[in-house]
Amino acid sequence: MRKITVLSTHSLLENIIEELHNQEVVHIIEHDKSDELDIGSPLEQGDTVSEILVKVRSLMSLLKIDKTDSGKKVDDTYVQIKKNLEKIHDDTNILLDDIRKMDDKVRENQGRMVELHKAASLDLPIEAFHDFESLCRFTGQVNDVERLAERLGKITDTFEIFTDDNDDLVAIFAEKPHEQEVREALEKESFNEVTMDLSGLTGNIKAKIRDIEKENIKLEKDIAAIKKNISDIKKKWAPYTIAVEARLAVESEKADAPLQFASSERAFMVTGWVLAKKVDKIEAALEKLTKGKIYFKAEEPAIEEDVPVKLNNPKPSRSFEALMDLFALPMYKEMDPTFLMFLTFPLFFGFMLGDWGYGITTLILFATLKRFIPAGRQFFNILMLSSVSTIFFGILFGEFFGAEVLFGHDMWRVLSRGHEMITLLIIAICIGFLHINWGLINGFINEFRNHGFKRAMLEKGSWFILQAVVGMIVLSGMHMWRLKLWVSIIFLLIPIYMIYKGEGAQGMVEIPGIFSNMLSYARLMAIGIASVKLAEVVNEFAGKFFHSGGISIVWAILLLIVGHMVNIALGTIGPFLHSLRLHYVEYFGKFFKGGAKRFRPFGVKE
Amino acid sequence: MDVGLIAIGAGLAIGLSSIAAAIAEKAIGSAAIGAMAEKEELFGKGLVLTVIPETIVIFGFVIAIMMVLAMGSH
Repeated sequence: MRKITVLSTHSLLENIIEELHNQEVVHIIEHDKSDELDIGSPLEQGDTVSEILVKVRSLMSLLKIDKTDSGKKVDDTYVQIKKNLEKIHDDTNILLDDIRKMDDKVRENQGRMVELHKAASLDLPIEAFHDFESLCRFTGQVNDVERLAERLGKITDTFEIFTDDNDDLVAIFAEKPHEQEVREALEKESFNEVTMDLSGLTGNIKAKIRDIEKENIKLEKDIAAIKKNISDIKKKWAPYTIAVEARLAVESEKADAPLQFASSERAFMVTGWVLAKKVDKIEAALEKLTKGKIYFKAEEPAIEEDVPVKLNNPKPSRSFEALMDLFALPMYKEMDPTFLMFLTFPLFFGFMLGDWGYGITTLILFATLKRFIPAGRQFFNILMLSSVSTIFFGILFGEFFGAEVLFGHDMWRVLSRGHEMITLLIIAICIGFLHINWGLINGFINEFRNHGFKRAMLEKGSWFILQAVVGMIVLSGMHMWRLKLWVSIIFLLIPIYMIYKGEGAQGMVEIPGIFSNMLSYARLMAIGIASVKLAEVVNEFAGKFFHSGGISIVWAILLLIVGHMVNIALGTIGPFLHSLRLHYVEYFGKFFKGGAKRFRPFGVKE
Repeated sequence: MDVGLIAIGAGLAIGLSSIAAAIAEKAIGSAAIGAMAEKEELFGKGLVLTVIPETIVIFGFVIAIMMVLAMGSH
């Protein structure tokens, strides 16, 4: 990676931006505004571009257009684009307005229908429910209509009661002057008022309901027709808007680029990162473009600088860069562990799942998923490689869907996971020992490269000595040889002192950690056995069902399918996470720091 | 009698260590989800941090298996 500085005059600004964008090799460093050098201002078309961009994006959300690559190119001028967009916008808005109005009308009609239905059981014209000058009206429920009539008869002669067929709803009409007395009489019959608002309507209630229903059906039909129009507009203009959006997004990126530059009254300065091998190319391109009216400088990055990184791995291991993205990118000049993960990740996964039946199933499953979900391509590559390793270990362990015996034949194997657990445990911890020491060796190399032999020896070498001493003490504890207590204590103090010198108090805390880290690899065995046992349980149950015969065979098959599906799901998630964790926590902890930014050249689409 | 006690011991070893891991993961998991809500890129780190206490269960499981195997020799 080289840090480049480009200086030129404002008259060349636009051309240089264009060239940088086309070359797609420069990761621009944002200039911090200072007293001496301000940041640049956007190109003059910037305002127009962002204005149109806002417009086209709002139109796309209005018409629910998804950003897909239509392959169409738009060469229209800004004025033309603006005119087109405004026209589409207006057309759509008029239609949407119509829909909104019709929707309101439908809702109003629905409200009216509710009121009409309340009154419909009384056989009265709608006008009877309007307000009168000389009459008062009550509608609602009462306990006893006949008793009410008696009570009202004592108050006045001029009243009338209408009821529906079941006496559920009553309407009472009386003269206004008697309103108060009538209300009191009603309350004695526990009157429960039902209000209805039929103002503005006339005629027969039932006929009115039919009319409104008809009107609503028509409105719904009209709304559907307008929606069809809108979707026609969408179909017609979607490729255009997508193309405009794509073009303007690029132009707006270019127009806003000067905001990242340093700028004075007449000149501007761009600083950025370029891959070392691309420096000559970009220099030549810029020199040619500006006919030499440019100052160009490329330099090695300083140690303390925050250099972005671009991972560069051999093709088969490139998918594992996704796992580095999840964790952290290695710093510039730090060892990139992607390839190391490519070597061990599938092995750990296979060791845990270790069943060639499962391996074949997951291999087919992930190959299929990769085809349907291209976005997860990298992860499916990792999982497919892990499936191959699962098949390999499955053959070593002689396991097929949890069974060790196939068609009466005991399968060939190196080791039976179901029966030789202690051996498996020892192997797992040995793998841990090797893996962690490999990590320490990587750490040693990193330190040696960056800080020399002494630091490397104190920080990483000390851990090797510690392990050797602890190993000696353990052997003596097992009476394999004799070691005096004071000798072992002195031996033990040497690496502890070195660790203290190298890593300080934090290193001291981690001393027991290195051994629990190795024990942590016991999960290679534990998770494997859990998956074997679960498969065995499924097989055993299914076997019992098979023996009962008849309908039970169907259950047995169902049980086998569901049981093994669950086990495969668990058996993929578990080993994946735990293999990942062994790398991230135990392995990377020994040498990897990470934390660099990703190299994002100007002009490259996300 | 001895065999029964060993079996109970093995059960306790894995059961209690699972409860311990669950308590630890509860706290880490909710914090990780919280962090992810703020910054989605933290998914990877959150996931790894969440499974860290699982080591305790692995230890419990290993001890339980060793006990069960020891049970056979009684």
